[in-house]
Amino acid sequence: MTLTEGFRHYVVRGAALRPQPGSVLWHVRGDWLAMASLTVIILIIVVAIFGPWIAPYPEQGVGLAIVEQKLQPPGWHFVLGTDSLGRDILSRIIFGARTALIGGIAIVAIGAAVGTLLGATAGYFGGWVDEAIMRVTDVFLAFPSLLLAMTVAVVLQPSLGNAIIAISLTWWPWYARLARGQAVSIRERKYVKAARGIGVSHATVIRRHVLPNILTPILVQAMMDIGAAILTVSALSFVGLGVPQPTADWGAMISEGRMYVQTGHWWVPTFPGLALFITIMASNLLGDAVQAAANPRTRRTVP
Amino acid sequence: MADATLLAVRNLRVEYASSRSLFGKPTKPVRILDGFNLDLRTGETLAVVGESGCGKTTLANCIARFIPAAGGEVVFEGLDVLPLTGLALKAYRRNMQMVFQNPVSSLNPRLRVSAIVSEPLETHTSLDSSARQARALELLAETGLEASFIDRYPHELSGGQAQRVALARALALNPRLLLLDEPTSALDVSVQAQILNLLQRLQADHRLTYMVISHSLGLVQHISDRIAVLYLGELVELGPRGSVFATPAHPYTRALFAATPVPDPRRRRNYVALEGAVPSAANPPPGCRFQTRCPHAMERCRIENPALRRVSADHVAACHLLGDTHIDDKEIKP
Amino acid sequence: MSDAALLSVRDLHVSFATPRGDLPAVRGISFDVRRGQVFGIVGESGCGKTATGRALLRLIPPPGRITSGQILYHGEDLLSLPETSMRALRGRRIAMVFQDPAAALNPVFTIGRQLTGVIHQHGIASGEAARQRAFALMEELGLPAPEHMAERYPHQLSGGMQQRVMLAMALAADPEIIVADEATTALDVTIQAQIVELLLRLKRERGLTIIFITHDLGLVAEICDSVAVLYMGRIVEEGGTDSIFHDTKHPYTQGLLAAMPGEGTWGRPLSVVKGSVPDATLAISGCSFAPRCPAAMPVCRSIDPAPVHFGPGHTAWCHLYGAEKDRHG
Repeated sequence: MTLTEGFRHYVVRGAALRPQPGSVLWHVRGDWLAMASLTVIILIIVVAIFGPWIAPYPEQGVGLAIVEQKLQPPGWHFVLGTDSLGRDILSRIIFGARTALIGGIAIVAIGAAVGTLLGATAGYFGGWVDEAIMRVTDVFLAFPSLLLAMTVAVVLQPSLGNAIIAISLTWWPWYARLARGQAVSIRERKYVKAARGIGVSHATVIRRHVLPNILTPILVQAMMDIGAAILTVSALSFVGLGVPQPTADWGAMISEGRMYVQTGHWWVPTFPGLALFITIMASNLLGDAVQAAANPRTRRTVP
Repeated sequence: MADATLLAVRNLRVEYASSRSLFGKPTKPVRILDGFNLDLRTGETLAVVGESGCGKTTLANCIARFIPAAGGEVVFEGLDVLPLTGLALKAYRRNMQMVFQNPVSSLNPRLRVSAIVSEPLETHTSLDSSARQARALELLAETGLEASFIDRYPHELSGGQAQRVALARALALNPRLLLLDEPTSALDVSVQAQILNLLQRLQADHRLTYMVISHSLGLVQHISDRIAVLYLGELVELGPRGSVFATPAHPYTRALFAATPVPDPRRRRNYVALEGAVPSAANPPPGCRFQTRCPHAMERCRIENPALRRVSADHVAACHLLGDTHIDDKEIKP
Repeated sequence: MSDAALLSVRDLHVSFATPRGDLPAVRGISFDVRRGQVFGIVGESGCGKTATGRALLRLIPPPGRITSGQILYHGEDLLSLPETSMRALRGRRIAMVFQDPAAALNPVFTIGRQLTGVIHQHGIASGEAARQRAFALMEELGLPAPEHMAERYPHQLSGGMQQRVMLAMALAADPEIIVADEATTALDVTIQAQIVELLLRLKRERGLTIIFITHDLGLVAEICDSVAVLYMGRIVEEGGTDSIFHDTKHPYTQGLLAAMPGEGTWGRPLSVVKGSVPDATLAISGCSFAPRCPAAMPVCRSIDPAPVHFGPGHTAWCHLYGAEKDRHG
């Protein structure tokens, strides 16, 4: 609920600052899509939290194999069918939502925290501090990110925690760049100068005056990135470097199921794929809407 | 007036970093101020006037230790503050505060007035939060704001109210010197009058010394005791308010006064506007810096940069037209 | 007087839509501008002076709009013209100059190209003829060595030179009226003096009519023939510049003039207009200046003041004089 309130607050407050009435089409389209996306995401969060109580076969969701019932088509008992080890795909998808959300949120949180701190420091100080931090950032950005994540994941052994570490390592430089750009402009603000003139220390200036004022675009970016982070975890799992069996993961489910398409067991990879698709779609649409609301040029009023 | 010197600027040189050219060859640094001298007397209001590029903001930023100097001294109560660091610098900042041009942008939009005004107390004193709050309320009252403003955010303040908050913050530590950088130029006329009155009351109550940077001659005439006129990084005229306005000695000062509109249609002048614009500081003209625009420029002005000459007791100007009664720096010090 | 008017504004209303309801920026303004005159519109921030100036060209940016009124120019109401006719008029008959020339000039094209572009666009000349016309304009506006200057980019010019280029562009089609919105505010005072001198010369030599919008009463005294003082979207006092400054009637105008620091005010506190401009979205009853007026009477808070005329062209909207007149009558 607080997320909904927060979102509405954001949009409405944003609108109060710079109204753009008259563009009815835009506003209706934006509004219901954003709200639908938000509903989907809340649904996924609820499912992830209450998975063990919602899933029809929680023990199969966790990973219990019952080989006798393998590859059952969707039907009464197994709404979305079963996989090659006879586990209920719906339960697996529900448990996979936990993996996806934990992975996505953790990656974005670590990436945003590390990147923002480094970027804000670089942007605030400028000079050689800036040079040093941003050159390191550039080195990380120069690697293809998935390749870097895969390399790290191979070294660290596959597990959800290691996948998160590996992907976070490729994630923070984007936030560092974003935060640096923001901090460079905040650094020139008179209130930063005033604080320095009072004698406030650099660390306090960054914490009290720079960070709070650069956070909005970073939060928006983080929201838009969760979908992509989930996709990256799935990609690692797909190639076997992410979440190991028997933990449920959408990417791993698609990977395991893909060979069964040829034998006519289409449901095995299709439903996890659909779950992934819907989640990322909703995350992106919501991110777009929040970004539009945060940007005065594309902001719109909500009745 | 006690003529004790509170702050003395001696041979100050400020350069802006040489930007590197395409192939990494450092270009010549731009000298904004070069061998600049100016004294500030305890309790006075010194106005620093001049057009953009004259170095007045650079001067204030350097005194306030926002930008480094390339040479010279800024002596505050007998101590050169330019080399200060750490706690010593912090102690200097307690005594000297700057107030900025645009009051709304000088307040952090994410902080309430209470946090803004008590930040200096938090930084410099060991007062607990309730004592800070009490002091903040005191400061608001002193700057003419009701107690209810303490919980507001900057966007809920008008320009005049924001400038009052900025003044309350500047006064929190009982400084001796306030550097006021265009303190009212972002405000409407009716609000400007309120802030100017407040500044004068605060000065009287706290024995403050003001250095006011302004382009508005009306404001300067109203508030200042002495006036320093700057042109392209150099002091061209310095003297008591009355004397400078009554008998401006430097052609640039005269041009500046003539160009300023007076709010009286019966005193319209036949415009003889100064020609051209201020030359670039990166490439100042030889000789007198004003010679490219000066209606009286002579051969000598193109070769020799004029030194300061005495006009009357406390009034000096740098112009060859004033004859050859050179005076050295020591002599112009009070 | 209105028969000699080149431009007549009648009961102009402009408002801006906000989530909290309509914000009236201009609330029924009427004035006449005579040919060859410098007409000043003066007031503090939020008084509606910029909205008024933009309304003359129908250039109010959304969410603002002109809600009612008439702008009569050569017998035609500009507010009822189709957009295509309005576009033909903008820049050609009435041109506008803004505060920030650096923002109004395109940084990637040379001055010459932008100027010939405007000349070409107005259908005045093209090719070599347009170039010659551009050089002539630059010469007239005091831009030295036009052939050389035309090759420069905006950032290579000083603020004063940029504003001269903007004026050249505004004058390209030889308009009858120029609306100058704080056109000298961003400039240094000696440069401002040059631009003011230039405007006065254009008025003299070309018979140009200038609507001069500013917050600076000093500038008004300097160049305006007559002036309208705005407060919260209304004209509170209007008249010849001399009578506005020397026979000031409205308490707001009096307050503004008294609040100006200057040589006469040293050593004493300035007189102050108490408070600040109230929130414009709130309903106003009576005179909008009443809450800040030192002479406010009970009637001021309930009844909108009617115009009171003092001598030729000098009018103030204030109950102080209405009551007096009633007593005498």
